[in-house]
Amino acid sequence: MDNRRLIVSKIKDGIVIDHLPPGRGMIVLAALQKYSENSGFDLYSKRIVLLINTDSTQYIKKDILKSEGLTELPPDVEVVIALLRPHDPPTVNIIKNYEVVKKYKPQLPKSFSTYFLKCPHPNCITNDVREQKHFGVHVHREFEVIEYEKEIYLRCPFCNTIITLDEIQKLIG
Amino acid sequence: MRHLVSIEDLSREEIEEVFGLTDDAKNGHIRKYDELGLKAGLLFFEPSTRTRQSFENAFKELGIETMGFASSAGTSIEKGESKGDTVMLYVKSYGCNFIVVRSKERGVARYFMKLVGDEACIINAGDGANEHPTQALLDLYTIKELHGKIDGLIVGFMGDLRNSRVYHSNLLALLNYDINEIILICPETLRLPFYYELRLKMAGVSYRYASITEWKEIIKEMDVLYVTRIQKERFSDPLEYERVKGSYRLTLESLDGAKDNLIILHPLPRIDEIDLRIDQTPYAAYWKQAENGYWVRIGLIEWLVEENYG
Repeated sequence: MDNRRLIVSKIKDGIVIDHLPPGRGMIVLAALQKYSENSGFDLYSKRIVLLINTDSTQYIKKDILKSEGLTELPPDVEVVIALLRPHDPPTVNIIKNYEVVKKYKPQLPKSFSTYFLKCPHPNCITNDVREQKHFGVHVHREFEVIEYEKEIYLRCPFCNTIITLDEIQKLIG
Repeated sequence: MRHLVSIEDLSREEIEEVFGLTDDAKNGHIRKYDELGLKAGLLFFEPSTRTRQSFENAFKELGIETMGFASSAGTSIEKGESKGDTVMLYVKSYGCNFIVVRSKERGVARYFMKLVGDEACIINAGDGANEHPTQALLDLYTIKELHGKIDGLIVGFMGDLRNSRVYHSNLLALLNYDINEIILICPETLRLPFYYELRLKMAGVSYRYASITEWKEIIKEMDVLYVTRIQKERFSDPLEYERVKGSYRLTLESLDGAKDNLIILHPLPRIDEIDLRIDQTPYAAYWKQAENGYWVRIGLIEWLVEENYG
């Protein structure tokens, strides 16, 4: 046995998210944690593995996240994954009985509502402390995806603030 | 339910329909909706003179009952009530079918629209430095009334492009028209927010920033010149305000070489950005513009009643 290699056992049923940009896997783990807090899915009762800065033939370095027990990814988490590298999203593998039954790259929708991302504008109503009780109950934060000259931007439709890809990655980090 | 949260909520055809109803109103054909028993809540968390008064007069003229407040002072907002609860009170408890809202926070009209859903029509009367769509409607109406058209014109915007919600809505409204060129004249620090430039670029509209040093050339080109005050209340840094205030002032002499049919617009209130001598010239369209505020709001409300309650 090659003792210089890190061996991670296969999962029986769950999800493997591959080709995550190096160092960004923690963001997806945080997104899954947030999802588990809201959905009742107990993320940490099952095996979960996050490999950071592992070798990649395609990207030189990458992160990989393996989570047992999930049968599909919630749309909110897919958006987070797609935002990490919108033009070439990481790969999601759905595993059943040790076999990959579905493989796909989450695509950004034209618009989405999320609790992972907040508008960075301090005067946006979505950041008004007094109004927070309504957010997530009656109203959801939303973002529109705009692509112009191969650049991806998010627009807060409440205040028209534009968020660049670099800003997005800091905001969801 | 149709709302007017952003001027982008209306297509060119719909804007023209509002203008048609405005023409009718000016010609004495004003509809009456008393039998529908409609109510409008005018929620002005931020002060306003012209906009609030013209909305109130327009609703009353159309037979729609009005209620509300002209500032947050004396309301439960001062006791800590949220704006979300305030709008729900006016819609769910007082039965308002229309909510006209002005507030210093950006996005409050959209927030209200999300909160009340199909229970009331939300009209944005200015949300912070974001948008002021009814002002854009009356501005375009005034341009069309005085020039006979909007297509093909060269339109200049001078002053605070960063913080002027009036300019933001006007620029988005002009995307519906085949504008010859848009000329933006402002200090370097008060350029448009990124979104509006992005929309101009995506729409393929010809626009450029011009320096005040090019004034003698650009004044000859423009068919419409829009002027606003530098909005002190939008500056977080008083020093930044002091640096730019008074730097964009229109004098009678500065109009030498202008086209005979140039029209100058201003949303009012003004401070000192327009020389009072210009008031007496044919260029001054801002009095007509203020008068049109009432008529265009009649046209808009009629259009919204027909869309939502007709």
